[in-house]
Amino acid sequence: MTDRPDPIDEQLKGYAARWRDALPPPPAVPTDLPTHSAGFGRRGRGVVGWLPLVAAAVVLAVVVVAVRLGQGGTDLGSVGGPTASATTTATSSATATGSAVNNGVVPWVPLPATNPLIPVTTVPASPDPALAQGLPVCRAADLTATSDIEGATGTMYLFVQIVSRTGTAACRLEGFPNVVSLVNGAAVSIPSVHGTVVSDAPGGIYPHPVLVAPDVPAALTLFWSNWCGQAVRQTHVRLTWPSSAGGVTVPGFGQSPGCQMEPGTVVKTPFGVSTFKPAEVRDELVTTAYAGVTATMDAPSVVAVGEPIRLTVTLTAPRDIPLEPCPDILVGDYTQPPDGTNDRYALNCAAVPYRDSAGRPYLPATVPVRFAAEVPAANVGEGTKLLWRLALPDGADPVDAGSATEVR
Amino acid sequence: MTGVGRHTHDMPDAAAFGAWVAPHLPALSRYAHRLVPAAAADDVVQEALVRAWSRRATYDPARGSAAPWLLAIVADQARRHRTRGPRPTTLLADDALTAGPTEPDVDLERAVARLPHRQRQAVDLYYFVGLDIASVAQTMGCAPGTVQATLHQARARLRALLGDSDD
Repeated sequence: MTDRPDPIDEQLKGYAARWRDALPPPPAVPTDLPTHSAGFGRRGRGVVGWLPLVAAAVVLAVVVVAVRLGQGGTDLGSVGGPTASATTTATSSATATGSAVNNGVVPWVPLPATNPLIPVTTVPASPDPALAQGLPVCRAADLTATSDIEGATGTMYLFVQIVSRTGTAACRLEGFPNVVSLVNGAAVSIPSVHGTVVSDAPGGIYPHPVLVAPDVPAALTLFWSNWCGQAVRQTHVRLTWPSSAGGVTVPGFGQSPGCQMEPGTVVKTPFGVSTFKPAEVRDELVTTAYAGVTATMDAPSVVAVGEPIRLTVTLTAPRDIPLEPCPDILVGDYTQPPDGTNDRYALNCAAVPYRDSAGRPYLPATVPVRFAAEVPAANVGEGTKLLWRLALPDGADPVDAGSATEVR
Repeated sequence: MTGVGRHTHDMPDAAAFGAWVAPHLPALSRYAHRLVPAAAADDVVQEALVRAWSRRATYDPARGSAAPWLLAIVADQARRHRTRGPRPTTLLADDALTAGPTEPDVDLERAVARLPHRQRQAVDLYYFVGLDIASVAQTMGCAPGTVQATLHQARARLRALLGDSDD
């Protein structure tokens, strides 16, 4: 799945950060704790065993981000990122240049954008939807199905996996199944609705036919939440689809989910049903050499009217990534029209202190590299929501960071 | 946990307990501020710490880290606190004006307050307490994927609520 910036996510992050900053200090641990004979932890592992943990916790409370200028780099641990098969260029060990880096931060220079051509690699969607085209519709008699429940009583997922029996030919499933809720074999009336919001398929809809074979499973997700009223029970779910006699039956949700509304509310929320989909789905991926680079931003929470916003963006790459071609960046208030204050500049690659054997600036694997940036005062409005982004081709995963700054 | 030796019958050391919970105090305080009025948050945290002290023998590090265990106790104490007094209908919305930034995002706070319980819990723990997904999952007693889906749904609902509030 391709992640795109979510304004709600940015709003929550920005506001929550300000909310935390404004909280008073936490209270102290009470000093009049009563003494008892029980020790820490089950089986009384005792107090002494926790002291190393306490010491470690104190150390972890100190967060240090350092950029080493010189051979090698500070290994701050691997950085997770989306998997990609983009070609990477291996480089030899780093050497530092005498670049004008201020306190480990690549200085900000409003360099004119160069609009470089950033090469892309297109990774086809997996599985290839074309593989299921032209196959006959699966016969229910040729299939077996299992289900697995996940979630607490308030929100439940039912993951269904369908495979065809050994020795049968590949076939296809497509669209939504019809569902019937059963209690010990008897149909019961529990409302359901096609489409569901799950994290692995927008709206729960996979828009292609799905290949099913003995070693290639198809999947379904059912989602149920917020049943307010007399509890009902679903021991099994029977799934049927057009062009097939019979159906497959799998264990159901069991007890209906708990109510998340005020007591006394009666809302019988239907359970959602996704389309058939491959068990593992990956959309077509447009990727660049910058895949996996993460960006974090430090910006002031408050600035005065008329002042620019000076911020720092830290890029961390999962592998050595040459900054060639040197990408443009967008930096500004992303709530403004794109032709307004989302200014575009060239990244100050020349001042990056790391050089490979070919003399190219690059981001060393796992070494945070900090870049200063500035949003001009003229582009700063009340409640500015900042965005710093590498200018990458359409469809590639963005490398960006954002925050909210209050202008007074 | 490696556990150094066994001290089944040791007399507990309150100072060591205090040092053990100290790194988690900010998270506990943040969570309390999300659950009860600001004026009661410190009381809830201290009551939770006393309860954690008295129930420390039930903590099993093999089942998860300390923070989710402590946060669950805070949530329990917050529930007890709310049942002791009148329940305001817009708890978080009103108390956003006394806790947090001097200019709170009132629309956002009110929208969060209207989320279903589990979605609000996920939003509070992830965004406001600042836990990672795995810790949120431990605290909520569900899988990390469920947390991600719950947050996804919460954001979708907030998007709809905040869009509606602009009308």
